Amino acid sequence: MNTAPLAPPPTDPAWNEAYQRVESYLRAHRIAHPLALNRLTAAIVGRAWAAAPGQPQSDPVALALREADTVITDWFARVLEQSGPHSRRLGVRGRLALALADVPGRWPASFLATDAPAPELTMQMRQAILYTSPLPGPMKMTLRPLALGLFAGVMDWLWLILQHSAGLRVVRRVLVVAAVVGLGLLAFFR
Amino acid sequence: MNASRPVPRWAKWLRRGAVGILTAGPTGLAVAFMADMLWRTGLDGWKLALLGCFAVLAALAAFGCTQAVIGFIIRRTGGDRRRLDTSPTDAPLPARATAVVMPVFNEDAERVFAGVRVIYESLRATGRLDGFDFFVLSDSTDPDRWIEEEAAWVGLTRDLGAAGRFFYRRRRLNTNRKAGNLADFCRRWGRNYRYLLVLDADSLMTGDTIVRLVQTMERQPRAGIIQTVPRLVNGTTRFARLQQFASRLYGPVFQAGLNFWHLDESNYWGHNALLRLEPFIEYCALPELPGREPFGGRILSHDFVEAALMVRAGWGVWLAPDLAGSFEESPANLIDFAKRDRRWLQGNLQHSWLLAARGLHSTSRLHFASGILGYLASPLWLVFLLLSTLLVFRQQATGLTLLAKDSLVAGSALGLRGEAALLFVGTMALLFLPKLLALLDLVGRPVEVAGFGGSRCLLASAAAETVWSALSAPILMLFHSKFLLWLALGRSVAWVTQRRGGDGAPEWREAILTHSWQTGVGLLWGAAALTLDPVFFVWLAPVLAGLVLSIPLSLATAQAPAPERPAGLRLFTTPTELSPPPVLAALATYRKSQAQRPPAPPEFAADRGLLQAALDPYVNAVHVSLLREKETAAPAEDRDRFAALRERLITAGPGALTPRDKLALLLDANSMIRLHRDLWSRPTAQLAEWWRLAIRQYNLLAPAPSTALHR
Repeated sequence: MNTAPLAPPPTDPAWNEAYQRVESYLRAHRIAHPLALNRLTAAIVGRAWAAAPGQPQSDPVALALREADTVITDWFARVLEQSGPHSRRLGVRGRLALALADVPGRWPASFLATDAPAPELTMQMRQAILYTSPLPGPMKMTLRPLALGLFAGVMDWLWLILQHSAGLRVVRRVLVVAAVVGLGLLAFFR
Repeated sequence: MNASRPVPRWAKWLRRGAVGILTAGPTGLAVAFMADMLWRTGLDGWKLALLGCFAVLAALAAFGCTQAVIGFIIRRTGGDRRRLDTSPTDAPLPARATAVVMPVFNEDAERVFAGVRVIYESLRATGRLDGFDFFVLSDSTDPDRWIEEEAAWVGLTRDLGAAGRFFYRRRRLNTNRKAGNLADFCRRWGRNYRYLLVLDADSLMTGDTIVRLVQTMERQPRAGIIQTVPRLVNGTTRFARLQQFASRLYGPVFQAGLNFWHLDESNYWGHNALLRLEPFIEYCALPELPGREPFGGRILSHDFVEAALMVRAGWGVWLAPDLAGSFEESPANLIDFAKRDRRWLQGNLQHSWLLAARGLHSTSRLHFASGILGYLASPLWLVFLLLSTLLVFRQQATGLTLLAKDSLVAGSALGLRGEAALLFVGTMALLFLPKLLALLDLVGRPVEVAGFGGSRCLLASAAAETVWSALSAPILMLFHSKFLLWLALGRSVAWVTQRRGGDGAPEWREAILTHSWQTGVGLLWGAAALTLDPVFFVWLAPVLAGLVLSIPLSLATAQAPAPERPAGLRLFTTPTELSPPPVLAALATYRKSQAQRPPAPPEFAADRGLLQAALDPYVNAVHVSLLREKETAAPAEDRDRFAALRERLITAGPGALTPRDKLALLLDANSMIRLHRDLWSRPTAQLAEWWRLAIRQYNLLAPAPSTALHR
């Protein structure tokens, strides 16, 4: 007979932290009804507590979140009809489907509920695909030559000379400043 | 008229000849007067330089005035018979032939997607939505903006039921900025679409206008680009409302005048325009200019060049001023306006390379020249004023009384003062006649006058706007001159996101730091002018007033006026403000509901994108899914590096990582999945304080933090 209690002792700080973390995590999934949230959290923490003796090195928070992940992934697998071992990607796919189908908004009591989800919810989640782009329709954008003319050619040549010499760059700046100052002086003293 | 017929060549040149003659007439007269005055007081090198500056400035003023006069005549005589026919038809639109694209770069994601929503809903209301696909093409480099965009896109697609019709793409490298962003679209999906409607992040267009644009393009098989004239809207600060009032009041006469000589060789302004994709892709790839930035390298102001290339290839580029449902927003204050001008100045100056390019149409060269001179006018004006000061100084320094020679015009009875007065009146006429004509254009249009708040409000607003434009012109003159000097010294322009909307008021510190040198110049120049000659000081006073008052002017115009006064009694009221079209009203409603949401706690203001992407189960899933679509798994040698970065992020918080490291993590799907799992399953003691606080937001005692997916 299993004599272990169904839930951790209510005064254990580590398990309280685990409870709070699971509750926050579920709330981050927008489970809005407090009663459902409370029951789910308690059930998940209870499962983690039951699994704890087999994993004495694990922290209660890590254990509880692992259980929460399992519960969520199982639900995704059931709704999305994904069989086989659950990959980490199923969690991502499931959460994306929840968001695209707006399950928290349209079926606030359905996520993680033990009852079979509404057929429309199931359909919406299965059809939820992220269309980031249409089918490719590639075209080549070829540059056509544009002759800029003799003036631009000379300026290009001058520019290259100025740019390739650090000394000349300084000279260019000095020339600009000297031109301004020189004009000013000329104006007042000539 | 049936605009599908090409515009005859003779008609274009006749019109352009008329504009040329009408510009040359007053310019020649003004220059002759000025030359005579200068000759009568003894011509020298300085005065010749002064005359040169004056000639260019007078020509620019005359050119603007001519367009306003022509525009006024056209508008008062029933319109231009050769304008583009944009009347609506019942013809069906080709299915999914038009891509509506909005390139964005670190913009406010809420505003961007609210704009897309409004346009989408407006198009749906026309019953022609089937003709369009929507794209937000992001070049955002700010991780917070990037994550917000992703979540907002998914949320909006879901809310609109637009899956498979509304797409989002972000480039990892924003090569060649906006032009490169659009070119990337063309290369990936160009074959799928016949037309491309280019919007800006702050653009708004009604569904009806978009449908009419496409219908017009369908009727005009040789039109390559149709550019609408966006109206400035949604201004809440005095500055933005001044801008939108001025553009709304003076815009129509200028647009009609521009359209008169542009015809099918008009210009493209980069957004709120419809492009025919095939010729655009075929002919409008942008060349690289000789040299490097700031003057050379990649073309910054790509729109003018694309229009020129389209015209060179024989395609028409039209202006469509008749389409009223096209809107954009204005910078909220003078400083943001100047920042934007700095980018445009650099972009326009780059066009100097193309002035003599072979094969371009002469009208395109004129567009380039107008753009360049639009900014060169400021330093020219500054030089003109400095030379004027110098001449007064030189005259005073001689200690002699000025004795004028006889006029060059034999028998002229005008004295020097009379000639100066006439020149002054003539110059003022060139500057202010367009404003007067815009007001006269409203005579006999009571509905439009009522849209400006009634005749009294309209006149008071026009008077106040005239005063503002006189005061702000010297401030912009110094800004532009400084920008030009910086460019000459080889300093490049940073591509900054400007602040728009009502929250764009600069702080005192920013205004003082930005304008103090202008105030200093104004005070010194004023003192010098007063010392030299009090009459000259009075002549210079309007310029000096703008400079000396630049700080209070900048601050005062950046504030929103008192909202309790009814719109019709407020200065600078515009028809769109008084009775906003449904798209603007819808946008205002969405923006209001967005503003009512609680803001993110200040401690999470920085790195809020990273927070959401790592912690929020839905944002994380969206982000990872988008990465999975595009990014490959990190190479094996990078895994250890990513593991170390994740550990540091979890235990020390985002402050311990460089922006580059954070971006690297955000780009790695595997890291984002692990981060999400690790952050939630680590005991509190192993988390950085920042993450503890972040997770506490999800606790029952606190309201759930909002994201773009869940508000």
